[in-house]
Amino acid sequence: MKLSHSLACLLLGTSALAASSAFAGTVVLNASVASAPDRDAVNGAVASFEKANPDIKVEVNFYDEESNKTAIRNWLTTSPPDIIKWYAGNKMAQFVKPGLLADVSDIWTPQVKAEFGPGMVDSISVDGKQYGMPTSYSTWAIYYRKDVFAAAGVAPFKTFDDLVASCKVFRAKGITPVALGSKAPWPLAGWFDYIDLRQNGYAFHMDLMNGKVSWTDDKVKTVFADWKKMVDANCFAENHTNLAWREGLAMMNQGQAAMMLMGNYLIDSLTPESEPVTEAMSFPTIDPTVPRAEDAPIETYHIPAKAKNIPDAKKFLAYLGQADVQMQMTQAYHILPANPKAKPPENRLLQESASLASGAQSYAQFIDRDTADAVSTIAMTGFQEFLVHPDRLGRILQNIDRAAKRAYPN
Amino acid sequence: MVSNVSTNTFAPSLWKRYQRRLAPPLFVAPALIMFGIFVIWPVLESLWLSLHDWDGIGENRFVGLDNYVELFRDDPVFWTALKNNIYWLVAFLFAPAFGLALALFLNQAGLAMRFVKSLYFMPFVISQVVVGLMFGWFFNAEFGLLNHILTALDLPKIALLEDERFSTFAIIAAGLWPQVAYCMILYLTGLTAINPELIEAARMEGVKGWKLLWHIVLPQLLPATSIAVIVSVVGALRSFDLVSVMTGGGPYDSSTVLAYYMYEQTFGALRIGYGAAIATCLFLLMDVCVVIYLLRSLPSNKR
Repeated sequence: MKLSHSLACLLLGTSALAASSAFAGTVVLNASVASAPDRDAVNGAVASFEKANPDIKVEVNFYDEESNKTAIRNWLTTSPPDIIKWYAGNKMAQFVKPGLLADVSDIWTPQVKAEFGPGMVDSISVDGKQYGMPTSYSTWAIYYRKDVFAAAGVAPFKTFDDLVASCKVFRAKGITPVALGSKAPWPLAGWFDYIDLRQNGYAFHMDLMNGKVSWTDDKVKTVFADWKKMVDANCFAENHTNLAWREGLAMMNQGQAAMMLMGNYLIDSLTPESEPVTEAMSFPTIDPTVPRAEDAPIETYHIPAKAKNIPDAKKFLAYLGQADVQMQMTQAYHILPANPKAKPPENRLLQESASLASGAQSYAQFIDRDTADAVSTIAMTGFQEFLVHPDRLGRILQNIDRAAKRAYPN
Repeated sequence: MVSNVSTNTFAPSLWKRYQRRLAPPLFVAPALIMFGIFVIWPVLESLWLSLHDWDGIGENRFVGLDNYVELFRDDPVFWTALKNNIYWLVAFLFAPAFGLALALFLNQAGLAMRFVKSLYFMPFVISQVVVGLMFGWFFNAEFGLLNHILTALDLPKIALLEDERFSTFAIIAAGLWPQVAYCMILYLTGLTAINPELIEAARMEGVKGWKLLWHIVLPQLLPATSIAVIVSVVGALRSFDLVSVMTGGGPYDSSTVLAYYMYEQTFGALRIGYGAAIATCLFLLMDVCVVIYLLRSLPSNKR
């Protein structure tokens, strides 16, 4: 009897403790990170948040980017954490439509909206309501070797025709004009995105991504006609279909290739010898009347609709949006903070790429985030086939169009 | 202690009566149940999913045979994948022959023969992903060892994995390397079990060379041959790792196989129903092979 009495007291005591700890909120964060500095950045933000909010504890689980992409679909439909990391634009919209993300419009006060600017706010909004918080973004530019350019007597490009003309000059000197690695075909899609944005403009590009325009449209064909000029001028590296993009970059690092169109994560893959002589330039103009748009994929944090602790999660999400927090997070890890008030990290090329991208009229998220996965996988393989066999364009566009009609039946 | 002792000695208990008939199903039951839950049920669910259109999180829409119609009528990649699977099957059917040749060669006494045999077996021990990586680097047109050797011998460079005409064959070559090693081991074991008296008798009759191999040795290797063939067929149809690591199905889907195409459609393009339809086609292809195998081996087993 004595034993059961003390046992009962023990049980009551622990349940009381458990109940009191339930009042101290727990926020479960599933963070997808790309590297050790990225993980440190997240840990730093979590630590400073807990210091500012002693009654909330944040539990962090780390995942690599690819696992996050597949696991997130399981989490959202079963028992999700309180905060997840994902991407803006259509990628986010595909979870908003089935009601899997929580509406966080209340943390987007007019002040916060003004701080971020309409471009960023639009990227995480659907039908006027906000569903996430952008924390970082990457920019795309043509990174080039200024020493190779100088040796060949080529100046940085103003128009697309300059780019095409330079290819002949480089080839004459035995230099590969454009370094490319298309084993994973997304680097190619950068060329498609930019030629389309420069030729036809942001509005047409987004209509194409959203299935409102057919892929067999004449305007799409002009994009490929421009691209064919580059193929005919022998601009692209040979045998790129079995090279990863970093292996393609090795050619540029060794000075055997002149330029590469890539996101700013290229900066971390430059060697100490190649970094001082590498510069960035904006993609050249094709049609000067088309307002300038850039590819600037944005990374975001969201709260799943089925999360257990939404109020505390919202506090954390609002915290992640602050300029000083974003500065702290991006200092060690070379990525650009989404909040325009946060200063980008101290890196010459990174700041150059940020200033090149700023001031554009609109920002696209890159084709594999702007359109349905079923369409982008076929499109990107199609681009790869087009570069090697431009004569197959008709069939390629029909295949992509069929996939687009299936994904966007309207 | 017998619990239900009948008073009538001519009518023993239910268990005692049907022991012979009940015991086998009861012993097999646990394995059957596991097999049913983890193999049969997923296969049936996959067949069911192939009749739907689903992206994994949205609505699961029943579309009947639409996925199959699309697969056979509109999808050129499916036919490429099927054709590549046939190439794999045919090529892998040579693996037992190469394995037998190696086994006959190694079936001799010699200095450190065991060590030499284990070296020949190494390819099978290495993870398929590592084999794929190594061959990928070897065949690479820009940086690969093969082209370095060809250039050193003044021969023209060759792009195997980058060319849609050759990529499948390059991957099959990489796949044959571990497969031949495995068949070799099967035959080495089989060769040790051959009756030496038969060989002696044949030799005394003046039989040697090919005749000895074909009429005396091979019939005794029948069990090893049947395992080697079945393993090679299954291995050819399951060839996911090598395709994934060496070319990712490329260039532009020219080296894809049904297993990889199914994975790409399910997890890349997020069309679960369509991926299930591809998986069902692969399942049917395997069934055809298994039926052919059973039709040939069952009559001979009855003997």
